[in-house]
Amino acid sequence: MLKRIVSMAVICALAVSLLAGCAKKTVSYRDHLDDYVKTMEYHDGFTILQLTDIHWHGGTQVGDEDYGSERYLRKVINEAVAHAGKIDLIEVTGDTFMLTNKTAVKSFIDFMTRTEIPYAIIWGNHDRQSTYNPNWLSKQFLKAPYSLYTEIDNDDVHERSNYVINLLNLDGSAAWQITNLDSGASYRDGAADFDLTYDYLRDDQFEWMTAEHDAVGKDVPVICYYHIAQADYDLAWDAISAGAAGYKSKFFNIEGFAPSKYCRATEDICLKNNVKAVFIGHDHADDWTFTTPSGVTFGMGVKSGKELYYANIAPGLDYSGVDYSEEFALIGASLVTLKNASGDFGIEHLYLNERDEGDFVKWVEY
Amino acid sequence: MAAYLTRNDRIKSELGKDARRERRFYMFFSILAFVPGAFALWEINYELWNMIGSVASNSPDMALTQTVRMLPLYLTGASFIFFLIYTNGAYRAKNVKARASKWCAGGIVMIVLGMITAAYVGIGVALGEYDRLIEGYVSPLFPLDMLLAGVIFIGVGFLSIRYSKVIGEKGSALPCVDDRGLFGWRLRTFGLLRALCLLMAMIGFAACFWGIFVLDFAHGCLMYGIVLWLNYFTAFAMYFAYKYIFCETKPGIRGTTAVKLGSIFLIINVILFALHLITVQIWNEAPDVVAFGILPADFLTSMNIFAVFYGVNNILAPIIAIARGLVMEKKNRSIA
Repeated sequence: MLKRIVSMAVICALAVSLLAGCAKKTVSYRDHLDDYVKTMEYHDGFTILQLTDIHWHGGTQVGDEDYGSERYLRKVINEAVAHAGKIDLIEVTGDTFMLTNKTAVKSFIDFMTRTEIPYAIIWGNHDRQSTYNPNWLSKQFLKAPYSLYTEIDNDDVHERSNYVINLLNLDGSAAWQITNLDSGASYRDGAADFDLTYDYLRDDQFEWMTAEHDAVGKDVPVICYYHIAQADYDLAWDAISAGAAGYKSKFFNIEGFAPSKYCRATEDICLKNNVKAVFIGHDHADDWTFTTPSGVTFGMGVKSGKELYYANIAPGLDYSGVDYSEEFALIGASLVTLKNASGDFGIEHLYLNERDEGDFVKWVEY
Repeated sequence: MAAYLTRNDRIKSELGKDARRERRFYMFFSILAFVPGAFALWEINYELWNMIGSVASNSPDMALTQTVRMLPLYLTGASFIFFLIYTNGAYRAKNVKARASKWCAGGIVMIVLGMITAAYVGIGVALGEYDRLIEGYVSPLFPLDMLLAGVIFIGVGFLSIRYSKVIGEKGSALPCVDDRGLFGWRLRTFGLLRALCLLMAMIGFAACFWGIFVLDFAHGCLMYGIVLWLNYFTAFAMYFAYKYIFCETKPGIRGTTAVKLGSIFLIINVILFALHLITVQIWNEAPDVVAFGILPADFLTSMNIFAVFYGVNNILAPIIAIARGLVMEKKNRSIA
């Protein structure tokens, strides 16, 4: 009997292994470039509000009087609309959810729908970590009103949220291209690699990005959004700390950056594709932004809400270039305004803290 | 193998009609507590990692906010586990008086836990800590389900006390188990291990359930997903084998049963663990692409630990069972 059970176990294991297959990448992006594209009408002064690392976890998201992500985000968006006149697009750059469930996801989509502002969702590492199938999450954003989310199933581009939003002039030509990339979750070298590192942007993503850019024209300026920092941030921080000339930087770096140990600097790719700026999320306690001597800006969004963790900014961080005199929580949003189709843009960070004596609201221009 | 599948080698073969009915009563309640308890533990698992993440990242205020809101969940999980512990204790009581007192004491604690849980939710809703009775997180009915659980715990507590009186007045047909003198310190040691295995089994059970929905088989890496699911399943299956085969086998042949059951699970689990390592080695992206929802610890610790932890548990438990079985067999031989 024992022999029979062992034999059955081995046979089952073999049968399962025969069924196994990982790579199902049957669709080549080269044949489907148009399928990755959403379009919007461009106008000078086009505004993009970046919300990031919301962690709509559910534990605190609902209408809690002490704290509620929903109420907080509504305030942030209302403040941004009041400040800019109109928000044309909201970029939600990852970790929108964490350790949550379908009900919480639906409540977030309902909230975003009520804003009546088009929004683009990008996957972060924690978005995959809940009691739903990642495919289910994709489907929700594929069909949600105002959502521009696009995903090509089983394509040969790494991960999911790789899509572009072409901002079109009245004549149909592209004025700007917004490229959304999925920087994945975590990465391990193999079974013996217990120390996880974060995932990183892959060559196939850059190749796809170049193909999409070539399709609209090499002169069209590009803004990239994704979640996890690549090597550029650490390199620039070290260079600026060592006194390198030609850089501009502003805002806060409290916790350092958390790039993958396998990622690389992307400035050459940015220059090749006329990328004017890159914006990420992921590091809750940073919103540090810098511009390289070559003119590419790498920004970090401002964490939108307090979920999971956030930083308190103590007075005296002079390197930040921010004029402030009181402690505040580094939460809010980031606003990009596209000034013209020649690649000029502005960046402002909004710090919004809810306080009993009246909310703390501060806009800081880059 | 045939030994513990033979009806005559099971404890119940010697039980009378009343004792069998009483035994079924205990079995029913242990399963009744296990299943919702497993789901509560799974949610606690999620919440704890979230809380640990907040504390580790210097935001204890967020951990406190979450804990204040999720306290009913923790209380509910604790109540289910406590219910399992005291009903098991009553089932395996050394005499009828002890059995009655376990039901009574357990019932009182359940009433207290239930009242705290229900009152906490009720007051929380009244004070606005919960915006409405059904917020939808952490479960679709939260916190209403916690309120109902609290009310049910109160009812269970009163019924337990009532049942203790029935046992006190009419006695108990189910034979008592006086194995404390036999094991001494070993009982405490194995008791602790059993409790750990029970926790692993409960979380494994919930992971199996959620795995059906969470595992992204459409994205490929089918083999990895199946092996991971089976790793969780065997953690749960082992405990059931312990509870409903080993514990239900007559004491005289338990050593043999432990060795055989342990051997079977050891072989299966070693194969599964090896397959797990092989699949991760081949498809190193699989855990992140396919299964993050049932690997809650990996991300927040930045370590590839959760499945490995289960693999180690699933291998160690059968080894301990085999060793214990061999010792029991040796003792039986020396007594004979």
